Amino acid sequence: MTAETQQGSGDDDLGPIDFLAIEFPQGRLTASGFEKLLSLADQGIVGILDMEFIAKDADGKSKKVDVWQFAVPADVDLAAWAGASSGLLDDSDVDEIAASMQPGSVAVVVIYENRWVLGLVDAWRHDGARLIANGGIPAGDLVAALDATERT
Amino acid sequence: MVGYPPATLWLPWMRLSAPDRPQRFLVTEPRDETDDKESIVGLLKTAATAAVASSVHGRVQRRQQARWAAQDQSAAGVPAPAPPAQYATPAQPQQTYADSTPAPPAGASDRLAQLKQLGELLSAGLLTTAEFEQEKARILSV
Repeated sequence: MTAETQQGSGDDDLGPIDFLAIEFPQGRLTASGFEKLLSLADQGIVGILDMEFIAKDADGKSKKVDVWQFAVPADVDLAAWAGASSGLLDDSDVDEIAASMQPGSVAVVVIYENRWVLGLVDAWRHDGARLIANGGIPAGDLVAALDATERT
Repeated sequence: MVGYPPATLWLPWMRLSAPDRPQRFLVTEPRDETDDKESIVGLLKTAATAAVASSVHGRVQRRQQARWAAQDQSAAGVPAPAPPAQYATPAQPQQTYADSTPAPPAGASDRLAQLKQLGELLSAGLLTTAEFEQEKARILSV
């Protein structure tokens, strides 16, 4: 689909993609965030492109771990997430995340697609408008822009 | 790729012009607030044109269960193939997961029980990894 047509978003349309890395001290996962993410995914607000776990042991060594490999509290339904991993993170990604982890903790990395944007853009496209640009803005750049404009 | 104009996808790892996968997939935003960025050229930076392969969702889905990357489940069609070997359980027994006393929501309890059983069969060597993956995919697709 080109920008000129007015079709709705199909499976090939891709919303902006972000990631989150959440650390659980002592590897104790907490349920509420996973439940909320599941709800967002079920509603089609986000699409989960990858979910991977990284463990950092007491000696500071880190590695990817599978959900089946560590203790999960009773109230965390990780079975719902089985199959969410697409294995996109490589060793350098693991190192980058592990650098921020405390020893003995487990982190989850979620790569998600902001699918809500597609519906939003479609609403405009349906009436003949055209998406001409989009992008992300690092927080630091925003702060710099605020600084620059406030100096005048 | 259809959909968004090619110049404007916000995929940090796509900003590199090289078609090869860049070294880093995750680019953490710098949190240093003391960065001096007086020379910023405008706030809106259109991402470099990237030749994004079509059907990114399909490619991701082939590595996942069909549920996750694209939410249109009615159009999911053929179930995704079994996830890759990373889901093979490790050498040690799966006691950690099996030991948790579950209090799952009503609908998930059957699936959870089946998955735990499946894991025990695998760690007991009664299933091959491929069989485990197949069964797991079947359980989760119900």
